[in-house]
Amino acid sequence: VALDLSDLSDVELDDYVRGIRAQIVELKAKLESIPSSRLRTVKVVRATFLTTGGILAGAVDAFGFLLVAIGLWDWIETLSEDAQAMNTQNSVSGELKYLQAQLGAMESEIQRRTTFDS
Amino acid sequence: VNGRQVPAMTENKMQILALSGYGSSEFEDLEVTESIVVIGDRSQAGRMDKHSKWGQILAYVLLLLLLLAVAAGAAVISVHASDNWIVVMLLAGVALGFGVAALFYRRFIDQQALSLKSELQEARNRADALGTATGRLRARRSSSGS
Repeated sequence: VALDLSDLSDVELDDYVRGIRAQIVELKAKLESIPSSRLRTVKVVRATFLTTGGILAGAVDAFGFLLVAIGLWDWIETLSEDAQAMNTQNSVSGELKYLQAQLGAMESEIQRRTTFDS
Repeated sequence: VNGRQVPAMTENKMQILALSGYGSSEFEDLEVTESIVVIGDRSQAGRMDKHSKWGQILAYVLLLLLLLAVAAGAAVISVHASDNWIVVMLLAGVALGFGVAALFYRRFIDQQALSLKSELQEARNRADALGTATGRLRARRSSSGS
């Protein structure tokens, strides 16, 4: 149910803005940090080298398939983490759109009250 | 809380975040009489669910293709590798190609995160400006006695 901002008092409107601000901070905290993202890039590179090298080595010695297995493990782990990060980002993006709409409505309401006063 | 509505939050830790939006002097004014009543915004939760799992689907498709390629590669190598290096090189190339694809996928995620961060900052600035505007509105109305 959409909240009718015109029903809110000035104090409640102020509180509502604070609430939105807190939700923005919370959304920002959900996003992944740069170091952990870089770590996963390194893992992708490592997995690629292990798998490729493992295939090449596997032609000479069956031991190479062990490298392939380790590389695959790395790949599975990284891709599932990537998928999780992307899902989080998708949900953050959806929530952000909702908050932006709320901010737009707030701006209109404040504008309306200011015009009404003057 | 003290007759004031805390914005919709769904988990305990979020209640604290909601309260952190209050200024320090206002926070002292708050008095928790019985319990903090949080009205969860179910519609918001629904919106989150609606967001499709495209990221996950893409990752799993990529992974499935990789697994298939490597399994086929392992089978081919075990039969023909010793006398056919071209097949081995081809399979290694496929694995390398998947690695590059995975790196592009990572880059896409990073780009999306950067763009989200900048949008969040922009929204934060808008909220700050709105906070100032509401404060000014309140001050003007209280000074004019309306």
